[in-house]
Amino acid sequence: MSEMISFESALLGEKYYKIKHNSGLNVFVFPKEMTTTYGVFSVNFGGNVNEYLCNGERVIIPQGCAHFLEHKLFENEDGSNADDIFAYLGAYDNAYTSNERTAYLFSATDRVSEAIEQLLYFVTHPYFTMETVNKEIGIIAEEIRGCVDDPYDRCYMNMLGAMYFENPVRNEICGSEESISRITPEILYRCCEDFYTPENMVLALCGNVTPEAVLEIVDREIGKERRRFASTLESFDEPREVKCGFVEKKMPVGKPLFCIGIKDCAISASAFERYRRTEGMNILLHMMFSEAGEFYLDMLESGIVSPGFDSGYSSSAKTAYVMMSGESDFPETLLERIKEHISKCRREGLDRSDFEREKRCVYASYISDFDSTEDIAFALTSYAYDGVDLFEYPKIIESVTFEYVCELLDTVFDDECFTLSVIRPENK
Amino acid sequence: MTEKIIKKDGALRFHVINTDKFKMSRLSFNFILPADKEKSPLTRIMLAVMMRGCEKYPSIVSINKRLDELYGATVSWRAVSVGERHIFRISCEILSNKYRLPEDKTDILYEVAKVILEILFNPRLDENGLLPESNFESEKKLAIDAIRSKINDQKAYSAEQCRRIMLEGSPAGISVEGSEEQIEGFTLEQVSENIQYFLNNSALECYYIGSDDADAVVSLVTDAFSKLNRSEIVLLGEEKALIREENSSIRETTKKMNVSQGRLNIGYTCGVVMSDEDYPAMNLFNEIFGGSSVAKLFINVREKQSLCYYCYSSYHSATGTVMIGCGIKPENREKAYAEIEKQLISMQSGDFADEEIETAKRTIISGARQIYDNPSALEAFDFRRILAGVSETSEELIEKIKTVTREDVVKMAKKVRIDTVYFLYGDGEEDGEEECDDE
Repeated sequence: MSEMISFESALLGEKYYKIKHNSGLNVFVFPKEMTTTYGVFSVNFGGNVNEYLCNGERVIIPQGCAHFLEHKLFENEDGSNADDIFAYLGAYDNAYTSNERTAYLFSATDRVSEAIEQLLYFVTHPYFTMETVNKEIGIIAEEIRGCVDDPYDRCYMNMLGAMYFENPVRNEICGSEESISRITPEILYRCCEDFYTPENMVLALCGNVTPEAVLEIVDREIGKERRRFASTLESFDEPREVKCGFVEKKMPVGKPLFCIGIKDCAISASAFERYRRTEGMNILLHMMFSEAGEFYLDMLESGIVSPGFDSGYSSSAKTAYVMMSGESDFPETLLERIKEHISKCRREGLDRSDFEREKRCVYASYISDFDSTEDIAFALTSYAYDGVDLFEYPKIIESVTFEYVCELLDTVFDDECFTLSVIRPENK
Repeated sequence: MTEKIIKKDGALRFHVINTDKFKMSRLSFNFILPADKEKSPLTRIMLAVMMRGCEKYPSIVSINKRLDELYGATVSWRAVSVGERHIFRISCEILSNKYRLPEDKTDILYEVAKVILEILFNPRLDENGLLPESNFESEKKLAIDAIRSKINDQKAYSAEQCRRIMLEGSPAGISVEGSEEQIEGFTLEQVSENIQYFLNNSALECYYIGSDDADAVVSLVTDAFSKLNRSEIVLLGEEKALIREENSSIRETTKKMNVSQGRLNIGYTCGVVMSDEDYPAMNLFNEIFGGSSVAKLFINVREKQSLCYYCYSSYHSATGTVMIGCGIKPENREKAYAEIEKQLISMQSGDFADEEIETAKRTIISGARQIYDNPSALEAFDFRRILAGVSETSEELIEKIKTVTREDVVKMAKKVRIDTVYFLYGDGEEDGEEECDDE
């Protein structure tokens, strides 16, 4: 039988249900009185996967497969397209591929059960032919060209490429025009077979839904039989230092763009620890670099950065880094000033009242995530893969102490972990 | 959900929408001025300088520190053009008092409103009544940088160029940002003197959407403005559609840049603005033509011909125009152009299924319902109608959409006339391989 557990938050006045379905599918249902119901059906398979083991066999796939598959699953065997069906229901549908995952989603204000049914159906019923695959190559090639022309995207990808030696996050999610030309229907079917099994997937719904009704649809669409998920990704050894400290490219931009990456290789196996580190790092970065800090004011007034200068910490099970990005006429100077500022903070210590203020902001930002069914469905999804309860987050925030943040300041930010990526205007 | 409108003078209204649906609330100030080639960019710089600091909070850092104390309330501002008017909007996202930490008695909403009023009414002026020169110079430079950086996003850049060329010479074509040369020429005196003009002559529509009691904030704001010498401002006149003479030729512009993808943008006149009876039908036409991923343009230009990654049309109800954008390989320009024309002709001859009409109706209706899930969408829907001089709820719009017929859509398709073509392209060659220096 499927198991159902409920979680409640007195702070938020909200409740959700977690169901481990017979098939192995992880289902999350968050009833909420909103006009829009949002559903996300996702699989733990993304742009990072180029090589994996399945039942002892090593499989190598062309770069860009997960994203290609995302495009093709919308087409059904009878010639219909999921877009048409959702549009017919008055619903909106879309899909995203990230490094780690592929997510298919809908939002609907009406006929929600039918939309859930359709979502489960089209993602689990692949149909590809040589002809449909070849046609998609042209469309995705245009998408790739669009990314190649996007200076923000280039700046970011160059940063990842300079930061990592082995980590597949450095690869393009869409692949290249060359790699996608090697994709065949057989490869796509194989990826579905090896990754799109219920155990490796999450269904998250928020809005006008009940767990009972959802369960009934899942029983019907996915079936009750449990199928074994047998694929494992290749692990990689990533050195602590960055591959190279500086990368630049010329493009038609008005003003130089930069991404500063600071590699963090201390990644805990515990999701709670990783979340705690993420919040600790975000509070620390805010204390040092936010628009409420003297450093930003100094850089702004001396014309070294423009508004929009942003810093944040990004982390997943295998990848963690600080990124600071924006526009600057003097990115090298900015990098030096950032390093000096970090040394100064280490020397002089942090301010406890800054810490308290930033922690309050983190708390408010957590609460603000519960105003949209879209945000909730996505949060349920990412927490699900990490095995953390969404309502546990205030505890994680609480566990971030001033002392912990000071410790992060002393241990992250080694010189050999910095990289600077710049996109410079062509005619300068 | 309850709504009340508090009217202070002819030109200040406060809309309070109380609802328990949201944990965050929204407070916003929409200052409305006629599009003015000189004054609008000046006002934009003025506001930017004012947001950098006031007497009580002299720097951007002290303002942000105060906002962080108020649970990280965010305050942002924008200057946008809507037809022949320019809107200067300050909006705040604020945690509802209900979620304050235990023991905290601060009225967060009231305190945030106080910060905004400090910024507006007590700017940092020296003995000569001038704003800080360093902030002024810095904002001038940033405004120029922002204009130069527009090419970074080629999809938006080419769409804007097409729109600019199309509306040139009409008040709706006046840029709220101004040109580089114009901004260079602004003086600190001009910008500082503009503050009084701005406060006294803008129509102001304020919104509060959230669960807190906003009475105190309404009084605070309306009292502050009633102390001014505000003129009776009537700005909410009729919106006018762009009209071109019958036999005028198509305006074509081609620009070469070092990019690999081409961007083709086409502007059409349609003559229908929001206050027109035809507005719901024109919406429906656009939805079927290029408004979604099941629309004619997407299906035919992208899916069937694989010519592009995106191809959309959007209907602009303040100017009575329909704009198309698509990203293509430069050599496919003629093919894409021909296919877009072909799709328009097929719409004009009624070559679309009843199912397409029904689907488009459901999509628009669903979108109109969704505004109740998002305070900024709720405000945008209402405010847009205020500007158009239309009183219409989303339920009323839904009812009108339901009654649109196939004949109406065909009639709309026939109103659509090609006007401007803008093409941005490169030679398709990627150059400048990235250099990676080991340090």
